[in-house]
Amino acid sequence: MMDEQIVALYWERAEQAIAETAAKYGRYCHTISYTILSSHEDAEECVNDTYIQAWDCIPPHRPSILSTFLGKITRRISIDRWRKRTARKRGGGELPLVLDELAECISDNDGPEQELDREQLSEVINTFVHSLPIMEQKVFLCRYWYMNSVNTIGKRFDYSESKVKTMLHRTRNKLRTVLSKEGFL
Amino acid sequence: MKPDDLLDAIGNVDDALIATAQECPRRKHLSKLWIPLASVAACVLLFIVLPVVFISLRGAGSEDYAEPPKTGQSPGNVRVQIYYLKDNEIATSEQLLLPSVEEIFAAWLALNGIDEEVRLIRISYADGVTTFTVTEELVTYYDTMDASLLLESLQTTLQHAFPSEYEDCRFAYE
Repeated sequence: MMDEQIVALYWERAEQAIAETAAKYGRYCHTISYTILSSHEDAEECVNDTYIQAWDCIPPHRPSILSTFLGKITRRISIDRWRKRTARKRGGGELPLVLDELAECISDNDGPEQELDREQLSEVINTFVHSLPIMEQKVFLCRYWYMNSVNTIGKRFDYSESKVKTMLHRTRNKLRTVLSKEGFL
Repeated sequence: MKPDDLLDAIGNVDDALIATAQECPRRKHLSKLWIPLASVAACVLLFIVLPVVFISLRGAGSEDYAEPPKTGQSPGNVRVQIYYLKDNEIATSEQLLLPSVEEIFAAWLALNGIDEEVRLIRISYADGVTTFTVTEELVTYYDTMDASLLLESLQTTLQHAFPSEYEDCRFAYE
């Protein structure tokens, strides 16, 4: 079923919308969640929560790219669940490693804590990602949005792990420069 | 700011970018099987088909070898297609007639949009590896160009022009 037809079902408040969403995007959302939580049961719960949130959001939303709309919800729910876990130990999926890598972008931030303008930060990050060369952009998003492992990214794009790590390192350095220039650091 | 703040902000990147992030680009990927097959085909063409065609065009038994080749190609020129990077994917030029590897390298630099400040210093060969020593300004292009793809495009250009040669190429910088 096309995305427009599925979205129309949500607008009509037809419960078939959930079934069609699950059939088309259940696996996609499950993969996003499982990459973060490393637990099929937890991922399944997050995906179910995604359907509930999608039902609550559509209407008034009318997403043009349904996959990403759902993926964002799943990602947010999964990260929130990961944060609530009492033990944040290493080895639990890619998220701890991703956070360690992103910490490099703000490692010079020794100043006093200021209230963060989250909306502006999102705009700056969005502009930054748009400015990247295509392959750097894809590798960056696969790592920090989808939280794919370096190995998975290498296989996807036929790069060595070393090359993926170098690209990510270079992009993080660029991001740090941008954040500093925009006054976030 | 904490890393979690960055993580959340990355989560809000435009949908269109996220949707296509995991898609593999349509590279003109040259599989490891295709290159040797292409080399064999080039050798057959060069050493079997072309001489047969040439002899049959000139007539059997003709001794008039003083005439210049009818193709208009002067001796020493190589017919070559340049492989170069366009939007970080490998593209190909039309066929060019170039007299030497140095000229091929210069054409390759130009098609990649690399300025004249990058110069070829020398070409050396040892232990099966051909090293192109260039001025270090080439490194500055690696911010926007995939270094290994760039090298691959040069290597492929030369392998097509000179089959069974240039199987392993490297850059060195001075």
